[in-house]
Amino acid sequence: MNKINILDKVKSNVTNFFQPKGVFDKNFVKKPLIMYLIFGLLLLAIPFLQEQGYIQFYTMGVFGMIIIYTIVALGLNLLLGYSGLISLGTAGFIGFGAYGLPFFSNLLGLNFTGALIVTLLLSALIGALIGLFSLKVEGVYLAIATLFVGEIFLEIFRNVEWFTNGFSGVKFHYPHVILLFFQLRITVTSFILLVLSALIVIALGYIGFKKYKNKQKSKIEKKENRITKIKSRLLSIFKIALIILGLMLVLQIVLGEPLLTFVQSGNSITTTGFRGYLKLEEFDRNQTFRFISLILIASMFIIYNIVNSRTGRALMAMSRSEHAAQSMGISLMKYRLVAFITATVFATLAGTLYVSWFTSAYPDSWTLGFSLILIAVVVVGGYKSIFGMFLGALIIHGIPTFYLKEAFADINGLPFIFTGVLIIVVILFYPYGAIYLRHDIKRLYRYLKSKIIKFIHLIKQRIQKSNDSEVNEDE
Amino acid sequence: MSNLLEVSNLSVSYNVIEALKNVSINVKEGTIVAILGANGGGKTTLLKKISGLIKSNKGNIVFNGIDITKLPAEKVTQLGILQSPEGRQIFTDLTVEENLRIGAFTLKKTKEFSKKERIKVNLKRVYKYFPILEERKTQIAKTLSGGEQQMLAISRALMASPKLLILDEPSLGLAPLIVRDIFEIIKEFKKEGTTILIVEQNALQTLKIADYAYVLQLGEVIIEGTSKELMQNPALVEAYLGKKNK
Amino acid sequence: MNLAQLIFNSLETGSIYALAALGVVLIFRTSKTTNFAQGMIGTLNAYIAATILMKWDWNIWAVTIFAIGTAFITGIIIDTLIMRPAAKASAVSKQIITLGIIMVILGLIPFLFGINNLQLPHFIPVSPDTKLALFGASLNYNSIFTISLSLVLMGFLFWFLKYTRWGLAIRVTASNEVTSRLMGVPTKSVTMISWATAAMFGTLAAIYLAPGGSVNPNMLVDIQVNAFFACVIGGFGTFYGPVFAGFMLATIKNLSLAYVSDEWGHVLVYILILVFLYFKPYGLFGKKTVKKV
Repeated sequence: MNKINILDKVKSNVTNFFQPKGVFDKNFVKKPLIMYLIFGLLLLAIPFLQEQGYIQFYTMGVFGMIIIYTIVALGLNLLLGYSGLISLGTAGFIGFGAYGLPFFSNLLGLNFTGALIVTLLLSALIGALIGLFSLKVEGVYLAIATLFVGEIFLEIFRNVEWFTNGFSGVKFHYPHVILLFFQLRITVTSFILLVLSALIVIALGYIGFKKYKNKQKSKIEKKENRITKIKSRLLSIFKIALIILGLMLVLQIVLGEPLLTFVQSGNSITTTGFRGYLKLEEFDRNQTFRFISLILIASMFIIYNIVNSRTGRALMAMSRSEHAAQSMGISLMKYRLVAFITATVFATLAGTLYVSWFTSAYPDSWTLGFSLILIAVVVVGGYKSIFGMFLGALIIHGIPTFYLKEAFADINGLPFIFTGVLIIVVILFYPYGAIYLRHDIKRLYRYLKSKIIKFIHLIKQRIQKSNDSEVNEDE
Repeated sequence: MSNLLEVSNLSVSYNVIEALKNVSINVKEGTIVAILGANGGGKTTLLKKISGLIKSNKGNIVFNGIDITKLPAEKVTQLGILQSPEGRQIFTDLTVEENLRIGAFTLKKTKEFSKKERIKVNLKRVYKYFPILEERKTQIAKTLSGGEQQMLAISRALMASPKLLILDEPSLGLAPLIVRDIFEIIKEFKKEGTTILIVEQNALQTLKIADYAYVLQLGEVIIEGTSKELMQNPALVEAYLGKKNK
Repeated sequence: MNLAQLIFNSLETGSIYALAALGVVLIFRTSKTTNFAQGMIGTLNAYIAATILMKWDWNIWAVTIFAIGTAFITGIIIDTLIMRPAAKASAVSKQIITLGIIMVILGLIPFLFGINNLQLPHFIPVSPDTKLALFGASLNYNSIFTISLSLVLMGFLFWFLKYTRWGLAIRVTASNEVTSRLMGVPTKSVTMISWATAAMFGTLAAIYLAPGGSVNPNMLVDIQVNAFFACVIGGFGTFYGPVFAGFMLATIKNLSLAYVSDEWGHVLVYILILVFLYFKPYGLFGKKTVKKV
């Protein structure tokens, strides 16, 4: 008996490991969090493709910018999509990130991470101020108040030379962060391996889920549900991290670089595996790209969690009716602060990434026009959608810069006309964003399918009929 | 007397919900016709459709021999259907007289009178009915009391010398005394020859002044008849009208 | 620079701000959207003016009148083709549509007029002979003309709004569109005229401004931003508020630049305005509109 019990326990433990609740599900791949990871892997492939010569140097630059746009849009969406508030000062905050990072890093002598934290904290502070301000001022007045903030930033960027170096702009370098994985060189084999191992984990998880699901039918007490939910969520994050770490370990071993081999040197123990990485080496371009991609994925996770929590529901309730929400006991101030701080911090973060990616910043980039374009990303991508932000950035920034500039280099201004018309058309026909295009595509597909089936049916009938009539004629 | 307004087999739906089902209503020239019924009966929808604010799926509306089913609101008004909308909807940041003048926007000159003269005549006329408005003509409309705002809304519609005056819930939110006054004045309008379509929840009082009435329930006309018939039908009064008025 | 000169200069800038702000508020009230494209529409027509001046050798007066005509048409086209189909979109979506219009015009400009910046002359040539000395300030005739023309135009607009039938129609459309239609006001035409008027004001602002710099795609960006500022300071609730605030904003900004700091002058003014807005959230002349719960 006992032995069997223990065996069962081991079994269920193993199963549970691959079944972090809420992550490995039947529609496992459709789970947003997993989708973000897969999406991240796809992004990681871009530098690799560039190394292999499939993608141009310039294209990867544009992709970097698209990612930066997406990060801003994610934050902005919390304001625009979920809270129904508009901000016209976004460009100012991005600029603040782009100038703040070099400033705090050069002048105060902070390292990359330190300067980043200081910049983000300051931005959060300004965001909080705007949040408080928004309690008094509303509607179009609030929108233009945020434009004031944007213009204040712009005036500072243009005129305050000790901060921004005026019109000659600031120069910066690629980031250097103590992070293990970014400095990993990804080769063909390792990339394929990464994908393969990811697939294996997914498969294992799926099998694990099926077994778990059978067990699941036994009762779960509702009272404990909440606690277990939180526990399992924490656990699942931990497990995902563990899985990734395991993967990287496998990779490094395959690559022939021993990880965590303890070597005695003098009195201290150092790990050779980490040795190279602990140095504050500057990233190269590809590593920076991976760094930016990772931050994008992290941002998606964060926004997903905010949106699908009490906070997200409170924000949506507020956007419908502030008074009604307040009467339900939702604190307007708290959630306004959350919304504005998230939006400004994300914008500033994107700004720091901008200056890290392009290694320079100039004052005239941060105008109202830029803020409007970012709003367009949110609107075109789709309110209340996370992947939509990437789609929006791709449409608004990517398509014109990638494709049209090269294809129609002799016709000036065509990319602008394209974007403009696109924005207007999307809003007229997809008022909830281009991400809803997929519904129409599905519908079209179904429609065509049914038509084709009918058509085939019709033809069959005709053939049948003509056959019949032929038979008749024969008679 | 000929029919000034003929609504036949009208159906209107908001998405899936059918707000009006096969509604037919006739308004004879020079009469007061009432549309009664509880909330959600489709009364306001019917008025919105007549005045061209919404689209219908079926049926048609003929006014004075012209098919107005598909005309937009401003064209309908130009033909002479003026509405005093539900909730009064006066232009709060304009003065009382400006509100009245905009009511006369569609007024055209006739052989005898120029446009200006006609506006003057009509202004005099509404000031005769509602002297309080003359006292307050330079005031900003939002400073008026509820009753005065209702008077303004009715007068504003009257300013265009309408062929058909539509009143949507003129008694809503008003004190009984003021309601009585307003209903008295509505009777006066009729005497002057204005045809009136009135929508009310306040059924008994409305039946007293109306010639003919329809009862709308859940988008359908369930009863119609002259006011006398309806008043003498105790079962109907009890079932659809009476309880609301206690 | 002495005070009189400063005030005179502010009057000139202020009249441009006020014209632009009037256009913004006109569209905001009738179409319920903030029109970001107004500056760009003005710029487009300034390009038309400059091109005609160059190619056909017309004088500045003729091209101005011509450009005002094209501005009128531009306004009507934009309203009919773009804004009207979008009437049911949300306020934010409409704002983004005006952004789309900016992009389209931004693309059209190099396409139609080439990539070079163009020039427009003053209405009255500026030279030592065409100047007037007053309180130690030198006022050139062109600026005096600009200021007076703006004042006359705005005065005419206010008279029109206050005392004419169509002016009343514009005001009721701004107040409550649905009821206006019930009163027989063709609100679509009203909106169209607003767009046309705003486009004309924008174009005039561009033509005023061009001689000081050049006709280029970004020439009105700054004016546009300040017009929005004037609108919130004066409040969107009235037509005169933004006009007054336009002159005020120009004066305060110039004073602050001259007497406080040219690095931080504007920043200081903006921060002060934000503080002001905190205490008067609907501007100087604005009133709180009651919101339905």
